[in-house]
Amino acid sequence: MSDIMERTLASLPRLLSSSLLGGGKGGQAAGPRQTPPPRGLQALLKAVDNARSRSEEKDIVRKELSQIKQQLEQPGATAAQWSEIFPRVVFCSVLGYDVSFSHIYAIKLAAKGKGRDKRMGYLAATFLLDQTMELAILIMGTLQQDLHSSNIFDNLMALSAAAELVGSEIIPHMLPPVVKLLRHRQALVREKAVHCIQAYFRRAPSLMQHTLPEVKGMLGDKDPGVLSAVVTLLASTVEQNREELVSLGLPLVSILQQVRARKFPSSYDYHGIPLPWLQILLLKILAHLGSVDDQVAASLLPLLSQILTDPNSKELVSLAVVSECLETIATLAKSSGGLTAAESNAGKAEQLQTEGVVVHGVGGGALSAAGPEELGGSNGGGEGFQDSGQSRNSRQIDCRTDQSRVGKSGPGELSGLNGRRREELLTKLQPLLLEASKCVARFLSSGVPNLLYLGIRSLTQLVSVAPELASHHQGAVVQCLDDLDPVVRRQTLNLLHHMANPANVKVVCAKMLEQVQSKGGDVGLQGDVADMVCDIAGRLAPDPLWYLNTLFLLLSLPLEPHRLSSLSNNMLTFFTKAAQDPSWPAFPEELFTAMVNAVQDSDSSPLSQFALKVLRFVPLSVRKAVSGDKFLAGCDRLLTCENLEGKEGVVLCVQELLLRGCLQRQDVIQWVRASLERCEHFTPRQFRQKLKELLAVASLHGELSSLSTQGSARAMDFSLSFLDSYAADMCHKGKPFLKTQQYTPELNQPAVQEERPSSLISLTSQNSSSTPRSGGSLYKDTSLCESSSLGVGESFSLLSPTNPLQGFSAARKLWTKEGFQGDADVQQSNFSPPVESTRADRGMGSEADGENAKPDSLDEKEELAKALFQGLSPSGPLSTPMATSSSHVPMTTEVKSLSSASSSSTPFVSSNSMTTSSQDKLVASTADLFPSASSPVVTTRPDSLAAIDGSFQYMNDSAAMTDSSLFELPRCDSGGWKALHAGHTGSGHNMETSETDLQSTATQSTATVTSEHLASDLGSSSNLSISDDSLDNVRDLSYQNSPARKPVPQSPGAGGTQFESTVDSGFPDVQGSTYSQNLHEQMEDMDNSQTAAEREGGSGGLYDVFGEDAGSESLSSGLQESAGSLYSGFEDLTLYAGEWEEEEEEEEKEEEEAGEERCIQADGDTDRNETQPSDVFGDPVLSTLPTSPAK
Amino acid sequence: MMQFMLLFSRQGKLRLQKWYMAYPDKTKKKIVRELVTMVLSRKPKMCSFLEWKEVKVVYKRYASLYFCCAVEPDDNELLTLEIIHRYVELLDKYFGSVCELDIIFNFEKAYFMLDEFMLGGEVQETSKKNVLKAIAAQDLLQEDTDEPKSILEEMGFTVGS
Repeated sequence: MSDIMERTLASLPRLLSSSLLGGGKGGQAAGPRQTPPPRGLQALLKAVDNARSRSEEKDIVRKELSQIKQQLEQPGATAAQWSEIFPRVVFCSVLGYDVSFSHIYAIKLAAKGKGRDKRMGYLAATFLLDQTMELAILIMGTLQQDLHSSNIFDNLMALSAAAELVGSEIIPHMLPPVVKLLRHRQALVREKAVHCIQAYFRRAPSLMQHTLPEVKGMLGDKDPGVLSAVVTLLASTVEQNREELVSLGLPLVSILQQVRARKFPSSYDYHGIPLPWLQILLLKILAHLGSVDDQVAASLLPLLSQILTDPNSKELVSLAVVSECLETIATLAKSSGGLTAAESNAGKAEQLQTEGVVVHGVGGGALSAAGPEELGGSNGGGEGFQDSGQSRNSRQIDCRTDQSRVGKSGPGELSGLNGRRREELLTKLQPLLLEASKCVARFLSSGVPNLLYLGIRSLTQLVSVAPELASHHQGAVVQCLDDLDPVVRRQTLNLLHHMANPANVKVVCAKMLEQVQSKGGDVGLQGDVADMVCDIAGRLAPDPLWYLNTLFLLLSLPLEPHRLSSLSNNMLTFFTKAAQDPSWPAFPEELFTAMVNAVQDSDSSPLSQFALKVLRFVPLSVRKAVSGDKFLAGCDRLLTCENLEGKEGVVLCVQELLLRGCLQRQDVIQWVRASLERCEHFTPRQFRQKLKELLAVASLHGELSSLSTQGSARAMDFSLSFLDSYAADMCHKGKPFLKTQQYTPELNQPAVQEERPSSLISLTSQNSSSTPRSGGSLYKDTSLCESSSLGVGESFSLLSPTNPLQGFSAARKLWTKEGFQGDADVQQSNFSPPVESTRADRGMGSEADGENAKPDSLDEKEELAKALFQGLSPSGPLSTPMATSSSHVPMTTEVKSLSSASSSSTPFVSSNSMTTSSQDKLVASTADLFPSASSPVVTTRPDSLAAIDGSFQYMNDSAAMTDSSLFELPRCDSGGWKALHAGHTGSGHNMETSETDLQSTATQSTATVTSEHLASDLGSSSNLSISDDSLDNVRDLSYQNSPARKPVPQSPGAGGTQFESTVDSGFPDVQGSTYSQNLHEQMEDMDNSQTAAEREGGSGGLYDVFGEDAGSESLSSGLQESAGSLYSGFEDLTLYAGEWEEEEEEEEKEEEEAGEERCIQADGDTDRNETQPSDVFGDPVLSTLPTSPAK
Repeated sequence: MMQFMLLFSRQGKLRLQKWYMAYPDKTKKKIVRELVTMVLSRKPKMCSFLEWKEVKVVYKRYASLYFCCAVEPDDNELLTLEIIHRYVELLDKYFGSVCELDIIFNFEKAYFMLDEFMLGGEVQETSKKNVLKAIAAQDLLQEDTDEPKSILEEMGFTVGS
């Protein structure tokens, strides 16, 4: 071809001189300079250029287009006339005007025009049409014709157009003539045909596979242009066809060698560099082939080092080759197993890695036993269920652990590679990597912005295979972080992303956030940074608090909605995981605080949306009061401007918090009423229905929570430690398995059945009148917990009357080893202040560390507070990198608000014992931060602390639960509730927890764990809130039970009976009937209350409360589940009881001894309690009670 | 593979556009608008590369014209710069010291040049000489193929058949 072209050029002067073309239209071909543009176009261009406004331009173009249309539609117009029109059409199209009317004429012109007109027709067609347009199919006939033409210009034009205009469906029809042209005698035609096939390969690789052999054969083409075209094609398909192309590896290496040795015509040099495009394409292909075949890799290495050390690489294009070379080296190093730690590029979680290792171990073992033949098979097996990323990880790990196996057991490899050779390759790559690092240094130090960018990019690739290389360029990288060019900064952040490891992740994230915050940055950058931070923070976060802080900052960025939702989903996943991780205590507490605060503070920001999600979905172990009015005000703000989904989220969140006991029902009821009034007519019915449901729940909940505040706040020990003594007792009596018939009359007749008439609900609704013996167990529990958590016993000294205690002691006689001694203590406690009674009660049992616990817990709290606020205070080590970040504000302000609230002792804050506990927490945690906190708070401190101690100890002393039988019902309830709840939230892990707890109750270690757990919750709050849970649970059960099984809820007791039967089926043992009876009793009461609630609120949709969260869990099946889990727990207990017995006895003895001493000092504490100003507890609920001073 | 190439003036006026991927017209307009704004806002001391959405944008300014290419992320940026440069060289050679006006008034010739240089988003012919020859040969074509027929046939072409 080139010789023809030369002849063409040579003949040009002759042509001109003979003015062969002079007779044409203005002698266009005489030289472009001299060619005046067609008059029409010139005029149009000038007119548009002179247009003063957009509208004027519009007018001009519109006029022009209508004129053009007329001309095109004119019958009898020649191709030449059309050909003159089309530049104007294209120009108008470039300006952005609609010229679709002309499409068909472009196709026609290509069909009927000849020579230059045809060229114009094809140009217009390719410009105006694309392969997706239906009209494009009309040009196919013309294309076919021209492809078959014997005129090479027609062929060339048609090939160019066919590469662009043929869609994937038409490719099969167009392919034969194109393939035929692959063997055309003219190199230029072959070249274009190869490019056309390459374009088809991109569009429909599956249709093109059969052409690959022919194209491969064309590698031997003499013409460098055709060769380049073939290599271009191979480069675009190499990723999909590695196996097929691997045989070409060595020939391609030799081509590259020839190029480097300048064996090709110098006309193909570009700025003195031979065929740079071909070189780069070859490097691209060989990087792929070299990673599957190390013979190729080995022969490529010398060339790579030659390129890297090329002395005359001053020209920009040679640097392009060098940068491609760096990429190739990185690819090879990555494929050969990674030279160093895998962490840099191990994008997957660690578990995947370990998984990979395990798989590997198996594969390796099989290999060593069965020889190399087996290797492929075992590798294949390993590969079967691993994606390539995983296998890469596993391979990298393998490298570290066992170098000799590196090459052999790489499951990602396609062919059985010779391990030794692979190892050699690795050692050979080492110096190349160092050389590459030097090249990067050259790029970075060049001072040319483009090279700087390339340097960072290359370094990113290198670092992902050899992290240690990054350290050579520290200075430059740090400088690039502050580069003027945002693109360079962005690339540097990407580098940091790849460099991140557990040690530097904090700094890296801080830097990233700094970039988006300080330097502004566009939305794209923010999104990228959000993704990167999210990735590494989720992967490498050293602690959840830091994670929380970091991602809060992300949420505060103005991100795109889809990114925000993915971000918050990511966080939710993380939190759900972190909440289950015992090694990260105190996190849910912090999370809870932060989330509540987020809702309070922000106006419908993504943060508050997210906070609502977390509060609803993340299983928080925290039971902590919320500053209700502020929180609800925040919710109000969200309601005013959010979409419906968001609004429902708000309602559901409030409901969730209410059910958890974190919100006051009064507030909620008020809020709901207000909201209902406000949104009466504007909101959809669904939403109003949700609100009404919430109202119903709240009013119902109120009855129950009033019970909890006054009487039946039962201490919930999720470890069910009360069963210890029971189990021990039973074993002690030599009865490993108990029959229902034996014990039911003894235990339950006096304690439960006799007292059934005076139901729970009466206690619930009327506090003072509820003195009968009924529910003695409940009363007892209440008094203990209340006193311990409130720190003051006045309010319920009346509520723990003698009778219940007698019932209680009677029960205990049967259930505990301590027997009458404990009874005496308890009776004594009726005359002493309740807290003392609590103390005595405990003292009688096991005072593990009552006295010591107090200062301990104080210290502990302070430490905890420090730890909690460490990450939030600007001086905290956690937050030093982001001292300026705004995320610290929420936490502190929350403390502030709470402290101010508590110091002013507003009814709301003091209305609830949990709030008191939050006061305690506040006092402890904010003592340093807010020295100005007012004195009332400070005075409450010791007493509350003492009480907290008590509750702590009480909760945790599993061995000494003398009154376990009395706790049985509520506790088991709570276990069941947990199981239910697990079903509801769909997470399921709660149930496991409760089961585990059941199984391990009697061990002392559980007690420790529990105490730690409680400590992390700051102890005191857990009692009451958990009891709230149990209340919720009972109510839930009744909800689920009565309407589901009992069509007429008005008939009291029916639901309870049903429930009893359900439970009975799960409990063939004595426990079963005990529970069922207890439950029955409660169910009855709950039924009543629920009936009332149903009448009041018409709460047909109450199920939604949980149905929302659970999605699918059927309520009755949840109930079954709870029964099942309870039962399984008991089974385990009974089985293990014998083993525990001896240990327990010893422990109990010790504890008893210790306990008696401490009892006295505890009394001192409670004395102080009594002096506490009562207004702190001036709670509206409590104040309605006919409380009388304990004295 | 190159996704598209844009030529626009310093004032942001689009002079030439070539799309190697099928986009709807609306998207095209949006892309052009955003990209032109973005490139024009870059300072001279900044690097010639932009990471923008799914593509990498490589741009270079020659006199009052910006040449702007969008390539795939794994393409070589420096080489793309060289593609631009080679294209400018070709135009320069063809028009003889090319200026913006040449491209404005003879934009179809700029397209022809581009089509000879690149095909389907890949560099087709890397030899400057070959491209120029091919263009010259095409320019010799006549809509009326009678007269040059003999000469072309003499040169080995069989025009018109």
